[in-house]
Amino acid sequence: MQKTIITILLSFSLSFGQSENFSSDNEDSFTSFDEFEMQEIARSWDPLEPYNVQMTKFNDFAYIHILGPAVKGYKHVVSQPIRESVSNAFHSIRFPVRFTNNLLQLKFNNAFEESARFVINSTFGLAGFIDIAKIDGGLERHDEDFGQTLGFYGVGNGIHIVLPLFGPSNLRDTVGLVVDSFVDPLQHAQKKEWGIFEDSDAYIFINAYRFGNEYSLHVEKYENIRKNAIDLYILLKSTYEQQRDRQIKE
Amino acid sequence: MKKIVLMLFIAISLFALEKKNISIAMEYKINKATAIIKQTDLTQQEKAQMIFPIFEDVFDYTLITRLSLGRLNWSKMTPEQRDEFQKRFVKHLKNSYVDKIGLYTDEKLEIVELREISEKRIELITKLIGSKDTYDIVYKFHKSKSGSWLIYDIDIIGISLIRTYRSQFNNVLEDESFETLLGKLKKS
Repeated sequence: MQKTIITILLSFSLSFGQSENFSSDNEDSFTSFDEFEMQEIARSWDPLEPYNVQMTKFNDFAYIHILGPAVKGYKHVVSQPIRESVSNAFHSIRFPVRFTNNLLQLKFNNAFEESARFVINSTFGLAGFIDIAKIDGGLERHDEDFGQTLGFYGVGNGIHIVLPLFGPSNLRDTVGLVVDSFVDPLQHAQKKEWGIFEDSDAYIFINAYRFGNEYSLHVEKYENIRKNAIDLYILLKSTYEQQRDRQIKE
Repeated sequence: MKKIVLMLFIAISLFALEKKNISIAMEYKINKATAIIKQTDLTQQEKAQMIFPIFEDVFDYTLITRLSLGRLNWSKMTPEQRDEFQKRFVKHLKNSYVDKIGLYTDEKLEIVELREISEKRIELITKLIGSKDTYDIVYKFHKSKSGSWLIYDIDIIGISLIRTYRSQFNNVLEDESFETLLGKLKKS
């Protein structure tokens, strides 16, 4: 039932987007660059815009005034190679997510390479802290998530949603996040029967640390992007959707 | 070797950028820019002022401005407004480039291939390789009326410069005036 509702919502947002048409002002340079006109039209429906704009403002405030200073202090103490290694380790832990989604998209070769990467990095790469599979073996990452899997099977982006702290997303990818959490080892670690974390505080701390560490590697980029933004919400939305479209096509 | 490259470059830059020269000319320009960025005794602004002339003749700023605004917005503007807008927009693009110089650490640019899309379109596929991440950067060229190849869009990890600006311009112009947009361009 839930699935049907989601499918209807997604298809609705797609067909709605395509029903508009534009005036035919036949200027030479525009007709030969039609690709930009077409893409813009498919993006125009944004029912959550008022909420999204507010949430973008909230996130921006949190990034700049709360997370930013904290992360810069952390950056000052912990050098970049170490922060990159931590990022590698967190990335490595989420191997089941990538493996499952590569399989679901019938990318067997990539699934195999991901497995090889996991085994190599977990052993020779000191439990995933060093991406030795890439450095020495030339094995590249094959990031896949369930949002991309849905996209692979033709599910449209759906309406754009800005998530608290996580930032831009859309209906399809938010569903994907929830589904991926079922195979994410970090999510399982908080379960009582696994007994890895004694309470949920440790779990929350680990996730916050992962988030902060990741942000420490990108804080300058974010500040740079927002500085040159003409409309921050639209800029983040546009770049997010373009990037996801590309990831799905790959 | 350096001399040969230099002579080759001079020979290239005397004429319009031809198809067979795109890769080598771009590689030369990018290497030159990287060498400038790596200098430690210059400010970002000084570096930028040295880099802009290198790329001046390969960017089609008029087309970039047009496409970023989109057909509808463009047709609504007077010729004066178009000129004014292009001036501001190019300045904005250059300013944002100056800021980005500060982000450079030790990335290397590698030219992957020159892909022919159609008779009038070519894409130069490159990779920016950093210590942890690799970014795909695609320079999109079109054949201008004068016959030379000019850049009309840059794609960074799948994000198009034109599309990103177009969606922002559209959104501002939807419920605000042209003057407001100009003001926002000036501020950012």
